[in-house]
Amino acid sequence: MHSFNLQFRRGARRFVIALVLAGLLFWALDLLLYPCTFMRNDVHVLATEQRDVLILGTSNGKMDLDPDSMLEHTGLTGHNACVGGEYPVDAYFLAKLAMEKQHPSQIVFELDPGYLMTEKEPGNNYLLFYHEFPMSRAKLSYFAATLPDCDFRALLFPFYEYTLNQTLPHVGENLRLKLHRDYSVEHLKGSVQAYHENGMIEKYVVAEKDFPAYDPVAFDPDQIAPRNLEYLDKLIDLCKENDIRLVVSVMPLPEQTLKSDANWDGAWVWFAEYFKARDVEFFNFNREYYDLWSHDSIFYVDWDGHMNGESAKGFSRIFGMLVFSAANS
Amino acid sequence: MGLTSIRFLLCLAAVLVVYYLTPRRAQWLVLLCASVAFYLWSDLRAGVFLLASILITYFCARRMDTIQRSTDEAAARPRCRRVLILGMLADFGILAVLKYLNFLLQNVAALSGASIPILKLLLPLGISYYTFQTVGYLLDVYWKRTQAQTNLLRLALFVSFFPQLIQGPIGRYDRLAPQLLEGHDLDWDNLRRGMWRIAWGLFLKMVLADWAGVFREAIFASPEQYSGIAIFGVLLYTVELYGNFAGGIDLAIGISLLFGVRLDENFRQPFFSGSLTEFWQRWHITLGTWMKDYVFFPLSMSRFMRNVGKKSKARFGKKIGRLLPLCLSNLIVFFLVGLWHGPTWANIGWGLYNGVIIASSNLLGGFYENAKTRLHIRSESRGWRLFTILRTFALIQLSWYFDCAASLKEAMHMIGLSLTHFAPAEFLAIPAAGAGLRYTPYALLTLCVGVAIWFVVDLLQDKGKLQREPERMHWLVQTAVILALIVSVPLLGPASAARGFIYAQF
Repeated sequence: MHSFNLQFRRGARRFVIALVLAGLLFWALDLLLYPCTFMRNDVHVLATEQRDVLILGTSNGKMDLDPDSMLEHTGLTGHNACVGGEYPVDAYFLAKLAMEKQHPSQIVFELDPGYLMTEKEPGNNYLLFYHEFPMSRAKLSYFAATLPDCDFRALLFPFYEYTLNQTLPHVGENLRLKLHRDYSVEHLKGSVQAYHENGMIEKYVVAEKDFPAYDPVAFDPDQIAPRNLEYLDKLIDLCKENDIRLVVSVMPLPEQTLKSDANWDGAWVWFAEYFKARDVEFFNFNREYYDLWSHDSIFYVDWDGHMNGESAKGFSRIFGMLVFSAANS
Repeated sequence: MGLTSIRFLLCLAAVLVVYYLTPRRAQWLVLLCASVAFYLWSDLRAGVFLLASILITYFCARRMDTIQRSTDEAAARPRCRRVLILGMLADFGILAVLKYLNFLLQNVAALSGASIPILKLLLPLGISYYTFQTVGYLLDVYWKRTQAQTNLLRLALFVSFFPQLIQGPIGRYDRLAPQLLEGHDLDWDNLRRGMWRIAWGLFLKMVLADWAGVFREAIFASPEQYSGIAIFGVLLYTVELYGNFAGGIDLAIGISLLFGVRLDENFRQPFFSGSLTEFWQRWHITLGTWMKDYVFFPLSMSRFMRNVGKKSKARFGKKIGRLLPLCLSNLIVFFLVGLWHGPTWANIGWGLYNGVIIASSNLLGGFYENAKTRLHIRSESRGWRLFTILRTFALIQLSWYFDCAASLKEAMHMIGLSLTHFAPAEFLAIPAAGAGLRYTPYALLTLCVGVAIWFVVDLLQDKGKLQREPERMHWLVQTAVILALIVSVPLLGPASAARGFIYAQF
């Protein structure tokens, strides 16, 4: 019996040591290999600093809405936490995190109808946000809502979707930024775009002949993924419960894109009715406010409708005047 | 709920804690609850069919047991047989309707020219595995190899034990049920052994099989574009299929070991087989032994086959009279093996291909022996052994062209390309999953190194020089190797969503 106890304790000791070693190894790999993305900065701002206006949405919102230009005469502060791949589920939990850590008074949600039509793929699309969330109730509920059906790599090895030849050159930089809790943005400026501290990504000018091919997802209300609408509704309810003004907006698109066969008009009508029924302000720059910003391709960097930096700043001023004027705020 | 999902991982950890905190006599209830929850979470509606199989099997086995106890053997036998046939018809009937009815209707429609609509039938998860387990149990009770289980819930656990429910191995009642029901104390050695198997399974599945799948898919999707590497398409399929299935089985065995339950092995270095007969003794072993024990032996010793033997002996001589029933039984067994793999003519053809080769090698065995003697070939020589291994490997590869090609025509086309075109550099034109062309050389290197590791491990195991659980290593070295295998999955595996388990579709 005595020898059995000794053996059992020895086994238990080894098991615990093995677990600790595994934990340390996984933590070290994450530290070295998970890249410092701009979402790291965005979530850090959401979790640590007070902002009046939060901008959530997709890459169009990220590149078209400059918080500084948008709010320049309002006295308000803002941060752009949009990103390509941000679905309503992510926007909802980002808003939840922000409300847990600060008290924003207004949220702008940039809507891309195409996103509502597609199911979000599991894996790194969630990790882009989840990985950066500080320990919080929002993080736990985001985990429960999105990650359980991902494979175990998403939990233990969040860097798994980045290949080694993508991550190895940046190991030293990752280590420095993470260990020093450095959230500077210099390393996020590249040859085609620059990330700014307010969360906006400034795209450099691209000639129309260099626009990549674009095939928009045709809008069909019957094909909307129910989960997307579920979280859009949750975001609306969350804002109402917390007395936060929610503004939903569609960014202006190039004329040629609007002429494409993607049932844009159907989308505008459907969403106008959807938000009206929920008493949410909806600003559509491709219909009601069509004339407020040019749809000429020189203002854009692709047929998706991402604007170049200068255009984005100009558009943001107009957006700010419209949405945050005394009458609307 | 996938075996590699976070949900499964968290549930497994919770079930393990509860299992070892529960008194031994009640531990089986924890496993039963976990198995039911696992199955219903994965496939709620299919739970009805699993329950039906359990109830049918339970009541038929109990009835046979009652008959065997209450009457003398001679009187009991026909009555038991009727109950057995009823039980088998019901168990196989569910499988036949859900899995094979549409196939039958399609063929009837094709033959008659009639328009028969395809039925929307649910295919319950793991139905082929648990049906074979239940029928095997019924036959064991009928043959008095085991006593009928008197507790419905205990039988339910045997049928639905969650680690092996999705893709096997196909369990036998006499070996599996006692382990499930007896309870186990926490044994660190079992945890260690389980982790070895899990880590190795993850490596096989998520590094080897998933990479092989990326390249195999590209080659078979565009055979003209990759005509120079067509032969690698089928070799990669071998790696993918083995890594996927054996990896999945390693996971099932490893997870079971965490609970102190040792499942039957399903693979024993199959690609070191010297004949197709030997291959089937090393590949999907539990299906092979099931077929041998419950189909081949009863069939080859049946009155019908004895009559066939007598008639052929009178007509063709003693040797043929002895071999013909065995060959016919083999053909039937491999027809069923093919059918088990899925309701397609390709699968049936693949099964019969194996059956015909095995039957003909039985029939021509004497001729081969004579030829070897004349050519002074020693069967035990290394050269001959290597030749037979390569010959068997080539036969297996040939059959798998038909398995992974979309049609017979495409398979023949791929075989043609394999023989006439060879340009390995075309590999570099296949973009590695999600990471593009620049990553392709790294992916290929990973695949080559992975296959080399697998080959060496299998070779050492085949020679008995390496146990699957290397007990003699220092525990820290073991921990390091297990961690290295686990970490190889995110570092070396494809940076995309994990592919499903191929054999989980059955």
